[in-house]
Amino acid sequence: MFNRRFRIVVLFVVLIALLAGCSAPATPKAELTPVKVQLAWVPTIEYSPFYVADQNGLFADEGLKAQFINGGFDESGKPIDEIANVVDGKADFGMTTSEKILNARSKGTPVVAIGAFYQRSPIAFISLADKNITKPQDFVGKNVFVDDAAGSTGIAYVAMMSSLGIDRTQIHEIPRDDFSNDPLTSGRVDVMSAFINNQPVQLGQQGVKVNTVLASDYGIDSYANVIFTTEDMIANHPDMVQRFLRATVKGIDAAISDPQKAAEITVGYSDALNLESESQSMEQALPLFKPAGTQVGMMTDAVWSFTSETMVEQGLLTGSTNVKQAYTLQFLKEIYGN
Amino acid sequence: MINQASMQSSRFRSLTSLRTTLTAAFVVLSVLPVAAAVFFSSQRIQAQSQAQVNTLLDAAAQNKLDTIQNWIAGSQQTLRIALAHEDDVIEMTDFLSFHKDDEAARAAVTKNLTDLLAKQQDFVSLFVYDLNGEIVAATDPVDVGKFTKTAPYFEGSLVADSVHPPFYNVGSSDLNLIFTRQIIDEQGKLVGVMAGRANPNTLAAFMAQRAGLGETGETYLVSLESNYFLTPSRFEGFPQRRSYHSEGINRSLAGEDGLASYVGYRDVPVIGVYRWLPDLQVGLMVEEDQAEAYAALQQTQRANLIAAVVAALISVIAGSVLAIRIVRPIGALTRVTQALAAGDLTQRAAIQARNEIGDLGIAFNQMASQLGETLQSLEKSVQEARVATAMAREANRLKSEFLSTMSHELRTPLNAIIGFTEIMMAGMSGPMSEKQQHKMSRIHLNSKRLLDLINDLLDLAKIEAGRVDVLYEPFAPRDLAHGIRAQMESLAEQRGLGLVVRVDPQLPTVLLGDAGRIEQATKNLLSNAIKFTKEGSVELALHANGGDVWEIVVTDSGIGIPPHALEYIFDEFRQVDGTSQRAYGGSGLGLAITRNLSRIMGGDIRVTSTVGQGSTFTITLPVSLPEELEAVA
Repeated sequence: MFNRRFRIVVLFVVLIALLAGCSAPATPKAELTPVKVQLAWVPTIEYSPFYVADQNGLFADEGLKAQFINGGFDESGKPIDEIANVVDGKADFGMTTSEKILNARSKGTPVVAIGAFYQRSPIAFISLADKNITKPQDFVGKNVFVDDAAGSTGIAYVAMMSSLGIDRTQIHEIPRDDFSNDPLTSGRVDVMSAFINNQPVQLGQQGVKVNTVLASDYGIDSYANVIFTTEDMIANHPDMVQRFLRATVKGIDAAISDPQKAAEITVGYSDALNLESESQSMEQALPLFKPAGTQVGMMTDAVWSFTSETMVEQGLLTGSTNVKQAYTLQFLKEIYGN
Repeated sequence: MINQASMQSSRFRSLTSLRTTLTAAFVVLSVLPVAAAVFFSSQRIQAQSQAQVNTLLDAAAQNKLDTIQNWIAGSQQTLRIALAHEDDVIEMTDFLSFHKDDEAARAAVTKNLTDLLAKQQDFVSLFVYDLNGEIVAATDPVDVGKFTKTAPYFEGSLVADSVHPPFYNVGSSDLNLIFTRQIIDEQGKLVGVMAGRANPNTLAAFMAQRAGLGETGETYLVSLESNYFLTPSRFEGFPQRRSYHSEGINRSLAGEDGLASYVGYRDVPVIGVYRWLPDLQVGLMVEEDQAEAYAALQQTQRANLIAAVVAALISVIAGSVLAIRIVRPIGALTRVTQALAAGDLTQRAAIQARNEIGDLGIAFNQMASQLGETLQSLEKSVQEARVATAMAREANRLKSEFLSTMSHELRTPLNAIIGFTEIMMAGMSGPMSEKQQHKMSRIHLNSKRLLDLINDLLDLAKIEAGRVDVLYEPFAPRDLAHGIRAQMESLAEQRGLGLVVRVDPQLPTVLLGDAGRIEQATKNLLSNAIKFTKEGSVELALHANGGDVWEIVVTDSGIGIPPHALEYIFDEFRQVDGTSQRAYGGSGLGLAITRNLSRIMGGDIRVTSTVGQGSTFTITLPVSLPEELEAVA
């Protein structure tokens, strides 16, 4: 009698436990690990893979909760140093250019690129269409806005000119002091640098037709937006790096699969963005994210070497910098299974 | 209650009724073949229609495939011819090997290329690049100095002459379709590649021709690269550079050729033919919306369905009518039968049908008529019998009344005769001679016998007229038996017979009944027994008989009664034979009276007898106990 009653009680307890198990959220997700991502600029379609991954729960799928820290300028107007912020631990991951990575490495800063958004350099040199400037050779005798020689655009400009053997002394180079499109539309300069998916779109919306000279067409390739972290992070938390990169690569895939949706999501991250222009910008960015014959997020030794060599040639990098330590393909290879 | 039950049963029966069954049978039998016909014809039409659509799409696909193949072959031929002249080849290889920076050499090569371009329509531009991928000469000066090393066709172009998978340009977003031809110097060394950029609109133009396809029919090319469209969708809202997926697209890009029905990239069911073009690494799709492809089929099927429904409706109506025509006469027949059963024999079935049911109606009516006649004659007989019975009963009553009246009337003068005879015999009217005395005693004796006879008659008459009242008073059967012995003993002694009386000790000491009547009946039996017994004894026994009845048994050792006479000895005026009356005397009414008395008292009488050995008469009477005794018992 006692035995039987005892068994019934046990049965009841088991049943209640089962019921509780059913009603409770199935396999309650372990606490998501927060990761901070230092962007190189304010929100723009360029970062749409992050936003799409965030909104589609791709980070959560990897047990991560991403928090994005805008780049650009701080409240006091000082430029935000994305590399310094990551190295200082204010962020776990960052976005920057391959040139800045190499520059930091040359100074002994232990940052490593783990993946790239754009597979081709978006750097272009634009001019009003009626000026008929269609190739770098046409820059001769024109007013050209030139960027900081240490920045990626400046490097690309110098590299392109030197690669084509163009005598820069015949070009009226004007140091860039205005980042708006006004100098071009006002005729102050004939040529200025731009991102292929940015200024041409803005100008096109204003009805201004421009010609573009794409740096990558002349073999000037670098990674305009690499995902990087610190050597410490890679050494101590390779799993987190892997998970973060996997979510991000899936984010790139998702963004280019549905560019319109990606634009809509991105606009939600900033009041300054306009859906129409972000959408067009995304359309232009599609071949940058995934040009024919490439895999999203991927980096190649050729591009890194080229960038490095270019910088050495231009005296921006000492020959002692080991380019192989500036990036790693281990996480990308893990994702693509090769 | 009964009404409800019958209503329920009739409602229930309506489901299983003949009419429902017949209607259902007609419907099933007529609808099934129609449905089968529609089904099979639909199947056939569908198969034909599908085959037609398949053939059409297949033909379109083959046509596009041929067009593209021809165009590729033609373009490759064009590029081959471009470097056919030995001089041109030498000039080109020299330039690539030794004079890449020589503007004059470049100009000469460029002029050559420009001339070539002008002679054909396949290419919009021609360019030459060295093994580093740098374009060293081009029909479009903008191309010069550009790098092709990262272009998807570069690696392949160093391996073999070919057409390369189309791709979207990073800068211009234009579709690039590049044909390449290797430039090999006299030593057989690869020194560069000559490339032709095909008109990006050529493929779109091919695909735009939709001859033979319907409104929703389209052909398009989809790239293995990102599943992009290489030719525009003919529908709004489907930009080329999107990843498109559908069963057909996925299969073609997996290298399969075939035909399938699936949901197309527009989320609309389509029927599609897919082909894999290995040269271009693209899938060729020919699709048409299923809605349009099968519109004719659906129309036919709708018409078939309508025809089937109409046919079914007609057969349902016809079936119902037929069922009603069969069932209605049966219903009429049933109602008439019910009327007949209820006694209305005038009802006849009104059935005009000239068929088996009509015959049934006629036979039924004949049967009803015969039944009527039979019943009528039967009723008549019963009536007659009733009248006869009444008459007989009345006659009997009159007879009994007459007898009773007559007996009474006869007794009065007879009593006077007997009285005066006794007076005279007593000498009150003067002395009489011996002779007179003797004569007078004969008158007296015969008068007495006449009186007995009349008394018996009166008794019988009274009984038959129903004027006898039976008393129910307590009496002691034992006392009754001894009283009877006291009365009859002398008569038995006169005849020299013993009279034995036995009373069953089980018999209740007191019973309820008419002691006088019982005594009369018993004495009748005893006097008969004594009368018909010459020697031996007569026994009177009262039996308890254990049950609801008790018995008065009179046994003699007399002459007995022959078996044939046992049937009528209880009838009035009967003795065993006509002769015996004279020898034994008596009115012949005794047994009749006894039986009547027994029956009046709720009992009966029976006899067993053997001629020469004696008879046993048994009166059975119901045991009726006084209440107090009953209570004690």
